Amino acid sequence: MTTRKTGKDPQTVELLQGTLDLIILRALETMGPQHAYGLAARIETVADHPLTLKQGSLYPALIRCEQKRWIKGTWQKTESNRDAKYYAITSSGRRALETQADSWRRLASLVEKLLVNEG
Amino acid sequence: MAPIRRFVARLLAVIPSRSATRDLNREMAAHLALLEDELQRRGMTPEEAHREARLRFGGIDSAVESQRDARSFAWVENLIRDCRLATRTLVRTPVLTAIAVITLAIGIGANTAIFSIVNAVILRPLPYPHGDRLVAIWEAHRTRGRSPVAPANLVEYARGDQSLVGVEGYGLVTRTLTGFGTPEQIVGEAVTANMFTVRGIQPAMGRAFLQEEDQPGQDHVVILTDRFWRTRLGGDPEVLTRTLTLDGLPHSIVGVMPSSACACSTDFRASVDVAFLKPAAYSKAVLGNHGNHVVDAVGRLREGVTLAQAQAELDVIMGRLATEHPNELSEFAVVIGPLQSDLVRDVQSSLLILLGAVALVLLVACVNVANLLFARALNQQREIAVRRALGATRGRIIMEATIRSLLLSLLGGMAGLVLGVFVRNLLVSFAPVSTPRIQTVTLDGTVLAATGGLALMTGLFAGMLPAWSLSRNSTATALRAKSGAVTRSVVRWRAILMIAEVAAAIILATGAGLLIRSFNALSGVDLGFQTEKVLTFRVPLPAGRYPDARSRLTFFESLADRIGRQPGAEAIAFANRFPLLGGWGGNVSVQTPVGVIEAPEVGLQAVSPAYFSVLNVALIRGRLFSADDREGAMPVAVVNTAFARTYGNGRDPIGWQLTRGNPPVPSVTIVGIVNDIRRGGKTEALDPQVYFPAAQMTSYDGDGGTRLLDVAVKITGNPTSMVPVLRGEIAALDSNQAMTNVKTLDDVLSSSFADRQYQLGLMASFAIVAIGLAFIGVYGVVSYAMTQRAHEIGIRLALGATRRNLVLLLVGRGLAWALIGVTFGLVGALGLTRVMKSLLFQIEPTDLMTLLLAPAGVFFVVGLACYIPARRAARLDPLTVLRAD
Repeated sequence: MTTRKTGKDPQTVELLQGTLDLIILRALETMGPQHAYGLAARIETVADHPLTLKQGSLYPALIRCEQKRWIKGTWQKTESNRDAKYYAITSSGRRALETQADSWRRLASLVEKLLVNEG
Repeated sequence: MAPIRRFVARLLAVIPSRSATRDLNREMAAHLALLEDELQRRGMTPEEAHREARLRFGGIDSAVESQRDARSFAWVENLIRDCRLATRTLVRTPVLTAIAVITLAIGIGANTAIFSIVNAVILRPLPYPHGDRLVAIWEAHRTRGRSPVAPANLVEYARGDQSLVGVEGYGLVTRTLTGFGTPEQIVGEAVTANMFTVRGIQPAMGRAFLQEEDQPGQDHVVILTDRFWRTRLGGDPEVLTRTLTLDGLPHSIVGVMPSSACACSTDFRASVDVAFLKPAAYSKAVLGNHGNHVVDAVGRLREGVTLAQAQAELDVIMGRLATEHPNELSEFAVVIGPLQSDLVRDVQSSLLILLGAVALVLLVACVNVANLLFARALNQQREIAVRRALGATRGRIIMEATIRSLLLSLLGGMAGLVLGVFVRNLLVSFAPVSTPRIQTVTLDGTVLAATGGLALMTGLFAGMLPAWSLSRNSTATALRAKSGAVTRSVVRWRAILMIAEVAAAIILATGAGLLIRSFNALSGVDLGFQTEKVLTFRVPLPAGRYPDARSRLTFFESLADRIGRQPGAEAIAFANRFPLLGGWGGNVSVQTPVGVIEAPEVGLQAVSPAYFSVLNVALIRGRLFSADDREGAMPVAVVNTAFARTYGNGRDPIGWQLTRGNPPVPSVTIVGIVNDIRRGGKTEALDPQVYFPAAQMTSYDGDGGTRLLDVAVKITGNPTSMVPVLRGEIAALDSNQAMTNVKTLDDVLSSSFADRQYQLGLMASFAIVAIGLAFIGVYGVVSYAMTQRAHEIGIRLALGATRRNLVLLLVGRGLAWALIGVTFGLVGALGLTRVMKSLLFQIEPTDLMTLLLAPAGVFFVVGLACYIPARRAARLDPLTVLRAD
């Protein structure tokens, strides 16, 4: 993958369109309501690397998910007494997660198979 | 449902929703604060944490940007922003914008003006249902060409009704209207009774003429035009019970025309204010004369019948008539053509040529604007490169240029429309009265659409060309380049633009030059008579009070006698018609010593003895008329040298005798030969003429074409002070008698040039505008090139180049382009000015003088536009220039 766009840190993962939605939905389902920073921290923990994702790039996905009514945001106080917008997954969000996770698994296994066979 | 909801949400998001943005900003601020807290907890200083947090967050603006992209139609917002940016760019360079808008406005305005005239005169359909089935009918002499139709033949054409619904004859008549204050002369149209059928319309009120009213003696009925009914009778609803007193006789008003249509003469031709229509009621004498070509005719094709079929049917009728009346008709054919194009035959080519000319003006204007925008685009090159480097797409940059062009189009189009309406009004008010339907010129949808389309096209062309040409440069090149540096592609484009501009200007200059040469040739033509200080007027004696030729002669002789005693009148003559004001003609038999020669279609005029002295027509041999050439004396005639030359066969025709008519009138003897005149004006040939003494009218034809009508007075003072005197003398003889068509022969003569003057004026103006624009355009391009080359010039000067050589070097390239332009222009002129042949007089489109002078003139102007900036550049101080960079 040496295209023009890869002048970046090789560790940075370019996310496929829509995968960020899936990641957010999954995180909210397992962790319960969470603010954007919490989500970013969670993803970093899982990925074991702080620079996997620019934290700002969560926002388009958050807005997209909110527009699709998959998640709902409300302003609450954090433990450190700061205002933050907490997102919670909705029931239609859970359904979306189910179908998306399903199709992701199928896609991933297909890609995996191709990589194994062709490699 | 969901997609619709999302669509609505996105649509709403376009409206800059402040609260949503504020909410997002607040959320992100909280996010950053939390991140900073965490980083500080891990041991970073607040400053380090602040920096690191922003680094991990990524671009804040790009997050907002992408959220907005996700939330709405990004392109709508981009569009709004581009509009704002484009407006700002235009406003930031007000002078350049103003010049571009004005230049576009000139081009668009000129085109709007000419097109609105072309639209009304040529394109718009006739105001009759199925106007495309109306045909004009005329009779064509084998050598003399087109003439109107003889009523005797018209009746026959109308009988051949296989292909035609009907044939209508029409012609203007004037009548003295009394009973409405002072007696006045009003114009009417004499039409055959079938006119409503042929035109396919109905009267707005009342009825059409009846067949039996279309006969002499039964014809005291009129149909009023809508305009006359409204303005003079106040739209009286009871008008059908009223009468109109015309020439002293009451005429019943039987109908009113619809407002959409008027008289043929008005609908089809010049803006004659026709008041009424009356039955033509051709007399037995008229219907018996097949050589009397006097009425205009219009027919309507039956549905499904082609022009060729109708022509074939009329040919058969003419064939039969020609065998029956060989003397009158053997040399004639009948011709029909579509009415609409026939009506504009005299003006069509000149209008279309003018339209072509303004298109060239627009081309030059458009090229100029493109060049201006090129210069600006060059200056923006670095700015654009920076924007591209920062991530703006090429599409966005071209989009912004497009919007700027569209804004220019809009401004130029609106300014052009305003200018166009102004110019159009000017053109309409100066248009020769012979231009058909010129009074119907309006700003309708067609004109607006044409103007809009033109504005869009020119603006886009002028704006897009530079943007397109420059956006091909790579970002890196542009960034490295000096601001305003010129690339090869730009040089090539600007050369092409300059060549096009010079070529277009040359074509226009050549066109104008040819018209000027023609006009000069025309001015040099000798009429054969004098028009200076001759005041003419018409005294149309009504048949009611002056029933015969003798009573009319008495009136004119006493009038001449009375006017001759006035101090301002040097000489006075009367005749059926004076030259330039019409005339009459027919065939005569010349009895020569070697037998009878038929002289067809010679000019035949009845004149008073003073005719020749008033017009200063010189006697060559023999004698002129005297007061003794009256009834009872020997009938005499005077001919001109063209007559003597044509029919004398080298012999002196004095003493020969002439007869005419069937049965023949008494022979008249030729007693003198006078100089030739061009009766119809300067473009006419020197035709054979025969003059009869007005006082001997019984010996030829006192009741027909030589009916006395016109008076000419050679005056010493100014004409306006003379007119009341003349009017007084007429009133003293007959208080009910009107006096019309008061004009000096000089005015008549100059109005006969009106259409040529008009064409010349317009073409010359267009050429001047184009050359002016070309000068400005080339000057701009060369000045710009000089500022680009200032450094090089400085070096050359420092190295010892003489200023003279430097100017030559700098001007050289511009002149080389101009020369290419001259070549293209000459080729174009040779190709295009051929269509002007019909507008030229005694000058060929390949006139050498014009083809030399016009390009030379344009080349000189363009050369000057190159030279002035070059000379200024060569005078620069090399030190200043070299230090500047």
